Amino acid sequence: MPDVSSSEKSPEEKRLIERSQAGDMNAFRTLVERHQRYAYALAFRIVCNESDARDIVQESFIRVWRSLKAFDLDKKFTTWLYRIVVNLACDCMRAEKRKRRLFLVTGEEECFARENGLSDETVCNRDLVEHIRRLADGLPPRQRLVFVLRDLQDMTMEEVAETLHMSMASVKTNLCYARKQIRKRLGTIMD
Amino acid sequence: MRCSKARQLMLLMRPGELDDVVQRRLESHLAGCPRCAAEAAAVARSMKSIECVREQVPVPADLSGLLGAIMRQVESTTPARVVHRAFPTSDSIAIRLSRAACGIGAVAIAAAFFLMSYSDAERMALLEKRMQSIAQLHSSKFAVLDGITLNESALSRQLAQLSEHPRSYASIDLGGVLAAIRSGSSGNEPEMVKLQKKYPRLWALQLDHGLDPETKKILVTDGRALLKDIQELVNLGDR
Repeated sequence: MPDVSSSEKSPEEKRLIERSQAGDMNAFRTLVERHQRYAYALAFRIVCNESDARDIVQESFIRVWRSLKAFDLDKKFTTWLYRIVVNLACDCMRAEKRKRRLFLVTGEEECFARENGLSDETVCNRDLVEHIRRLADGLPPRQRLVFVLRDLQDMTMEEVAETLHMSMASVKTNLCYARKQIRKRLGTIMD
Repeated sequence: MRCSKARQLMLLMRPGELDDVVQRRLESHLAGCPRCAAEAAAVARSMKSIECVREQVPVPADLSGLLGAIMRQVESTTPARVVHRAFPTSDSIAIRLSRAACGIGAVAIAAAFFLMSYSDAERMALLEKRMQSIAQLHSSKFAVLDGITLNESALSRQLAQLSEHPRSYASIDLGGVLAAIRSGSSGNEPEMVKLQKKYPRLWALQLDHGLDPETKKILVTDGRALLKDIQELVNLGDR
């Protein structure tokens, strides 16, 4: 996947943001077109659900539009956008967890999954969901996020730290723990 | 380099994760330690599996529809431009000047408020005031604050918003969220202790607010996640 996240803000992108700040819808549309794929991939890899990922991306860009005037042009637009996406994705995961706990009676979880479109993925994404779940299920939230951003979304360590508001040391620690757990899990499966 | 250290470091062998000196020391250790070398090979195999997953890019079902939906919503939330004449020419000079003075005053007050950074004591006073008006969480899992009903997802949304706009710190129902966490968690976790030490008065206030068992059951599972958000928000608010 093209590493849009790590590209320095080009003068062209800066102009697009400036024009969007001034209310230019076409400029904002171009911004959305440029970044929506990456944002979608990021959201999907966290929540493992197509419709949730779409909703998250939609809401993220709406929030960007609403707050664009206050955006500091010296900062990285992508870091800001991805932070919003990650926060909304985390909210979504927490909401899902809460809903699941309301269906703790054995057997109802499957019904819940069906009724709430958790099996709605396209055929190819279903495999991807399974793979991500195999790797990341059971990881504590912070470790999961660091793992998804670094190892699945391929962000640099600096980008992960900026997006998650963590120190580099904290990113490394969480990444270590996450990979250790995954290594154990994969080792068990392979055995 | 000890084997225990090597086993930690070998988990960070993707490019850019270790600095050059550490990388060389690790490689040197692996060259001389067969057990660690075998473990490093196993780690590399797991990383290969992860790489395969990374290469699978999620296929969006309908991205063009998504763009359309975003732009529609953006357009619907943008008010039409209306041009007002701020100073109708028929008004007297005195009226125009007084309007200008009011406008400048309002801007100055807004700017002062915007630029003001709350000290810890001010934040405490503000939160204490808000805490005093929080009713107990009802069995329907709603908190009522200042006549506004908040449910759990609204609180979560507020947290998400706050992380994007640190300056809106004072307007968020931080006290209500902390009360929910305090009531639902064990209070033994390191983060809780840190928060407790940082805001002792706020902590004491929360003990007065009980929660019904039904609400506790749901909130206790989210306590940790919300607490981590709170910790980050506290850090943001301190900047």
